Amino acid sequence: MNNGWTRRTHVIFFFVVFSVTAEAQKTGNNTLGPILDANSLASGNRKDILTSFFQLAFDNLTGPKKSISFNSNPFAIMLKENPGLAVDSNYYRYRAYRKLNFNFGLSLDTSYKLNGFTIGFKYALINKRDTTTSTVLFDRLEKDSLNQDVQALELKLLNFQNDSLPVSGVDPARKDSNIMHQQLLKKNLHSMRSDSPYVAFSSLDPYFRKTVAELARVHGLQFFLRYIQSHPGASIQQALNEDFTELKKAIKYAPLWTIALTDTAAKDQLLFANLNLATQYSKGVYKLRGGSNLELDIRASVKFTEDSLQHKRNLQRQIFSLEPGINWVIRNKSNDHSQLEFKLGGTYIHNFNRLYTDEKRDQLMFSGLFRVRLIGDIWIPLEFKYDPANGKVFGFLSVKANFTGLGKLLANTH
Amino acid sequence: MTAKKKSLPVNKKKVNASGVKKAKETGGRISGNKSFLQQPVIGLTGDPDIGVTATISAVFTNTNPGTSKLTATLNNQSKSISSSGGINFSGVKSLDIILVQVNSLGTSDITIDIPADPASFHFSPGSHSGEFEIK
Repeated sequence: MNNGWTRRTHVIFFFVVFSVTAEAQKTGNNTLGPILDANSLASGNRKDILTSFFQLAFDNLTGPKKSISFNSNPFAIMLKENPGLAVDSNYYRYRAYRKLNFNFGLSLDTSYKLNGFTIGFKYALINKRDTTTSTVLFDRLEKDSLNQDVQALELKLLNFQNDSLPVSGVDPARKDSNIMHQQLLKKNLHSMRSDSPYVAFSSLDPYFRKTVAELARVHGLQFFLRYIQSHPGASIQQALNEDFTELKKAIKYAPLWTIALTDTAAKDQLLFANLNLATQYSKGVYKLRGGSNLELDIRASVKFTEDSLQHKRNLQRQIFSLEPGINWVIRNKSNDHSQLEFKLGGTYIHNFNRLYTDEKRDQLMFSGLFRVRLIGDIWIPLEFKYDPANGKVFGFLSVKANFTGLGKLLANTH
Repeated sequence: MTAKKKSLPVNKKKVNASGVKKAKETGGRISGNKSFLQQPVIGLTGDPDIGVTATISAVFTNTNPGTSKLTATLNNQSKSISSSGGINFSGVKSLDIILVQVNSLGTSDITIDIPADPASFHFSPGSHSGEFEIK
């Protein structure tokens, strides 16, 4: 049985890899850069809350109620068809689509036969983690000390070029000399601001270095001066890009709040037989040493299902559940990507309506979720629940693949 | 940062910025699926001593309006925009330098519609700058 399960898991895993590879190859160099950037910093928990492109999930692989689900974002799909939607005016106009996720899934029985399906929508009421639209992030970028000094220095350098190296109203010999010096300054400014490749400040032309250092000193650009003195072998543009990455990291702890509506129907049931209205809130609460952090994760839902004791079609059975938890995100120090996550929490369930035989009005369980990033953006979550009333432990194993992340991985390896 | 060099023909037609407006309206696309960034430069106008009018166009993508800023500076005169569009400078002469500085949460494509070296810049999200040297 164990071998059978292992074989099935391998088959499913290779199916995921194959599907994702095909999708990534089809996608090519589409304009999804920032979405990839936001993804690369997000935790697996955040991607489960709101995916930015595609997510294919195989849930509860070891349990009797297996499911395959597909999550996507309509804007990402529209963008593949019309890259013009990425232009800022359209990006804002279609913001509702960017905040929306839709999903559909199939439920399978123990022999992997179809026994139902799921459709649903999820909308981000608050998403302060979006690094492409955060006004807080933009404000911090503009106020970054090194950035402000470098941009002020560039203006002073331009004035210097205009005032001290004039090319009109001077004799031809001086004009040629000034043009040559202007070209030299321009070329070195370009190198200083190049990010492909990064150019160390110390390797720039001595005339340029001397000129900008003097301009920085005269105009009191102390942050820039201190930087070039303490990091002579560093690239200015690399430092600016690293500052920007740090600023982006800072907003990944910001709140994310979603609301979702899902309908699950068994194969012999009609549509809207099991409705689930859910909300989820996630926020970074504590930054630990080594780049790890704690995330508060609260889920609440009301499930409207059929009361089977009634003979007509109904949604008379309403079950409320509340799942508060803390997610510990352990990040790779080199790239700050979440590698391992461990969530501990509880589940409180309350039945508002008629109880079935042996059913309790209220139920309390402890739950945990261990999630490991396998490769690229394929995650293996293992979930368990403990019911203290009867001492039983339940476990669920899943596979989740986020397509954008894999696309990036493949792009990097080619 | 990517800068594109392009040698551009000079003619006597007046510069117009309708390409920028059209690109904004159509999301960077113009008829025939050709990006306005690929449009031929219309050229210079006026006496070389008086100079010409130059339009610097910016297309910001994968971000909202208001979370980008382009500042262009020519001869101590700075002009800024915070969404896709254009900045005009009059009296631009050969060998003038126009400094462009960008802060953006998205990607930026900056072009100039008169002969310059380079003819365009492509910037990733973050802070970047470049200089157009007018030919």
